[in-house]
Amino acid sequence: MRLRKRLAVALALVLGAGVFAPTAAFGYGIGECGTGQACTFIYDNYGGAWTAIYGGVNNYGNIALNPLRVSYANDTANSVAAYGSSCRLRYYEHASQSGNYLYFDKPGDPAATIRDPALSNGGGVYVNAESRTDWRDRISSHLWVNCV
Amino acid sequence: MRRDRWALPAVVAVMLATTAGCSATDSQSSSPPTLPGHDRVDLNPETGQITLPVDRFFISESDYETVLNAHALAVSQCAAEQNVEIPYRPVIPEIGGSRLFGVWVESFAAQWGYAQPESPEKSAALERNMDPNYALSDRQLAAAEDCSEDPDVSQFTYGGSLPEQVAVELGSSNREALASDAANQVFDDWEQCLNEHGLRRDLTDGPYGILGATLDVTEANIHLALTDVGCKDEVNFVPRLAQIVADAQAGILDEHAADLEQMGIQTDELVSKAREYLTANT
Repeated sequence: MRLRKRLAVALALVLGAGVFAPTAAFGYGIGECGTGQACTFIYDNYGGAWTAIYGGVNNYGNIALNPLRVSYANDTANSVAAYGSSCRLRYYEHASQSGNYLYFDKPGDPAATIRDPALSNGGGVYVNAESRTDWRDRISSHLWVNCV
Repeated sequence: MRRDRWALPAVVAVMLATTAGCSATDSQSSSPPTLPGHDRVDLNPETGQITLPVDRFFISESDYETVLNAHALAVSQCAAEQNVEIPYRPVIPEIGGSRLFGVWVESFAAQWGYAQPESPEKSAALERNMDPNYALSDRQLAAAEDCSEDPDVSQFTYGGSLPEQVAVELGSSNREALASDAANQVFDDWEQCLNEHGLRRDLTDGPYGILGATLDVTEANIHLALTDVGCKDEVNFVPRLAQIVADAQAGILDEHAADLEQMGIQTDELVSKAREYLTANT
């Protein structure tokens, strides 16, 4: 069963987004994101291929998508999570942490906005106007901030 | 209109209405007058802070740190009443400024190149951030969640109240402004300067990339970053782009002035309350 799910995700990657959209029900999902990691998923509801990163990311163009690791994550995220142990997270629209950003708390924070299942209407804490615009397929880097 | 929002700031207030070469201003010449401050840009070339008109109504990054600290202290005190220890740890301030239009602060470029400036305290925290043992335990998280209902804690929760449709309008406006002929002229001027200094833009991952630059702190990257920042200074890159975006925002802000003012007042009250709480309890 697990193998079939993997093959399904692989097929989705090969065919590309829009042909069909696997969700977390495919077998991967938010459970792939561990404490201390920033995670992106190519479909809504934490579905499809993903990244799970401990440190910063200067360019998602250099980060391979799991599980196949044959394509890259730049401008692919449609849902995200941030599980920092001591830091909050900004997802940026351009490489090298430039351009506009979305801001996510860490677990235990006020209202703890630590993930967003659909970036089509933005996401994260409402700290800037841009964070309520369409962020599908827009994330290119991230930065851990406001650490304790 | 609240004095603190519109008083001349200590930072450099860059008004480009009279700046030569800013064709965006020309293109706005037939626009109706805007309410005071609705087209104002504040730039601080020392700290790297960029404040566009709409940003002034949201919480600033430093004020948000204050609110986070007040919240953390309130959670710590609330959890203690449940016999759960959640140590109060204040936020380590960020020092990198804004990269809304890419790297632009000379002193940062000279020390860090394209890397994000960070204090030794933050470097240590980044190590802790990867350590699951440093995260709150399940028991602590449960206590923090319980405490989130406590009025002493929930009073320090921030979220913008601007109608989201207005935010969407502003986002579209920002993108159109940055794709305008006026903005393209700014990018062209910057690129011409880069080319004259032997640099090329790399548009692979956004408009601010430089071919060959990486985020490693090396002499080569520092040289590239300093040249990049020098060209931005030479063509007034950040002030011109910021003003183009600001001019595009002004009409939307005029239209929703009441919502924005209300949000600004709420933000100011929250920050004042957070400061008072921290003063009284630390």
